[in-house]
Amino acid sequence: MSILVDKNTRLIVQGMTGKEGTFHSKIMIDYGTNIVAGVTPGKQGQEVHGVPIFNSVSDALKKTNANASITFTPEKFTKAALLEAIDAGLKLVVTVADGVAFHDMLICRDYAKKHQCVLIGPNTSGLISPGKCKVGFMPHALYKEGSVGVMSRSGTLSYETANNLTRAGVGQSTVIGVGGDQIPGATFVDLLPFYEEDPDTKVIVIIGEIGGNDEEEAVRYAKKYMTKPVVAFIAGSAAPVGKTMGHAGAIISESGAGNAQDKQRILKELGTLVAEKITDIPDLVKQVIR
Amino acid sequence: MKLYEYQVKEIFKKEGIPVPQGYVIDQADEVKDILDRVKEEVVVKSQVHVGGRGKAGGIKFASTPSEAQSAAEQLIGNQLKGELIKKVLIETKQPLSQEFYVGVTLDRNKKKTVLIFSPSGGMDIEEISKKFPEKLEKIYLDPILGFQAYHSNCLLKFIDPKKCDFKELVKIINKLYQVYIKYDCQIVEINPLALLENGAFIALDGKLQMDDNAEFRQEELMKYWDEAKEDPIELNAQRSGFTAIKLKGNIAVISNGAGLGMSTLDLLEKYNGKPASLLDCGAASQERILKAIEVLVSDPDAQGILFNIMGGLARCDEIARGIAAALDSLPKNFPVVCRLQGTNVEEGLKILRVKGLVAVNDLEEAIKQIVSKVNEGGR
Repeated sequence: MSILVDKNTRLIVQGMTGKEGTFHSKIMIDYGTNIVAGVTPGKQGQEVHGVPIFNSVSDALKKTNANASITFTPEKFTKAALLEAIDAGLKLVVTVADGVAFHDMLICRDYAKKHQCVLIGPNTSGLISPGKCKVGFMPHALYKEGSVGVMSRSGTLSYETANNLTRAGVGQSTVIGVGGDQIPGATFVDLLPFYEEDPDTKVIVIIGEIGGNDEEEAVRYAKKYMTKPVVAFIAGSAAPVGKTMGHAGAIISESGAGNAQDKQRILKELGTLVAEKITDIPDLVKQVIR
Repeated sequence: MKLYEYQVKEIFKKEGIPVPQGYVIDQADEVKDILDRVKEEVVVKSQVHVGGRGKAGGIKFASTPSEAQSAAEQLIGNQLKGELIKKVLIETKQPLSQEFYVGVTLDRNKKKTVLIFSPSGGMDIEEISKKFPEKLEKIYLDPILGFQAYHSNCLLKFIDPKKCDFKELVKIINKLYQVYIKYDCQIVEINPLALLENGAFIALDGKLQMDDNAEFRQEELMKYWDEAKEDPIELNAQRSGFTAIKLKGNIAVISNGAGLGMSTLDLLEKYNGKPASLLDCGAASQERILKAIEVLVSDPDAQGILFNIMGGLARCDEIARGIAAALDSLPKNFPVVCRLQGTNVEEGLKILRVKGLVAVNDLEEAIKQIVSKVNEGGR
């Protein structure tokens, strides 16, 4: 099994007629993702890769039985696209936009929570349940179906980890990029319960980085409520204080809060296996997998 | 993006938050013109981003024009905690009876906007929370409701109604919240918000930092952007459409992704390598790779380049072609080491090895190689 996306996912692509939307929709369809509708205001009646385009998410929902959406809209229109999808009643909404103002995300995150909607992103490559469904633009050839759940703030580190796991013969249930921003939709702790309930996920890997305390919160939750082991990695040990390290959220504050050494120490104190190097993750996973 | 105090006060003034009459100068001899008009005692304030200006000697009081002139001379053109003082702000000194702290910021951990208030302003917020935790109120705000009048009721306990017009105070707090929203602030604060002897409020100092992701809709603030303050390598990268971070070592690092880049620096540190810079090249074409190399090699600190590429959307062979094409433009014997993994890795490695470069699968191997080559003496 897997979480959030699988063969039953019926996806809307918001911004499907745009360059990125069109390009990645084709790759998703070829992978096996069931895209049932596209949405671009003013383009109802058109088709992209044989998929009908609607003016709005609610129009799409009248004609299709979609249950999830991904937005390929530019960052300045992302807030509107996300609120529209949540308002229409979808319970899984993904955005791959990079550079969304955090004031917009405060509203979207809050609105999603109040509507029991799982909002993934922004600043992510999406999520994939290998062999079943991909919602995003990750290099799917590196992934293999299996029983390790992976969540990552960094896209490339999630690719690297999936690749290393696959090469070590360990498959993945669902790999989720929670995104590199200060205010993501769902955080690690929001997603852990889904992995806990999924009978096929045996181990969860959390790939964190400097800034904030989402990793600590997740591991505290896991220690209290989860039966499944967690393996973690924290990027940014060598990062200087006060510099944004590529991701808007990857910054050690001037007071030193959110540095990698503290995170690693707290995670270890809570009993989590912390990989020193990203390449150590497969070995640690093999140690704890049951 | 951070604003200087005088810029913050321009915004405050525009949005109806009272500020003292002030003059900004970048030449000490301009003081005379100002003091022809201003007869009161003045304060001369360095316009810098470093904190603790007062304690470091960056704020001076003057009761005569010649004192003000010599204060400006001492400040302008000199360093304050490592930052060059280019401008000073001269304001009339205010006769105050109490100092408050008011700030609105993002609480990163709670993922909410928080309004922070203290009746013991004038020192920085970390100090207030250490020394007078009981005199600090944090009010978490719903992003849709925003600041409502009832939020301020929990501040009444700090207020002496005989001395202070509470309604006036709440008006200022509300205006500050509106500034936070309107200008996409990461943080905006008034510290101190002074209660004057005549009962009026005035913002004596202000801080405002904008969320960089909101650049596209903050044209008004972007005119305050000071290009000269940016690192030339970072700026050059930005102009070429890359994100780069200038660091203090001697190895330029190019990776395709922020997280991958950060973990490359971590591992580099473990092998005593010192990064000069980190550039995220994304899923770059040959031409873009050439450009990225050009940007980083223009940095005189760079003595070699390490590539760490995780092929996904980015194809290792495409990137390898870019690296190979750049070789002619590099200084003689400039060390280049590449770690490639993922999409089209075998072809990528082949292209680089034909050119005599060290190209490997394993990141640790690549790091050992670049560290030893740079230590042997790069360019």
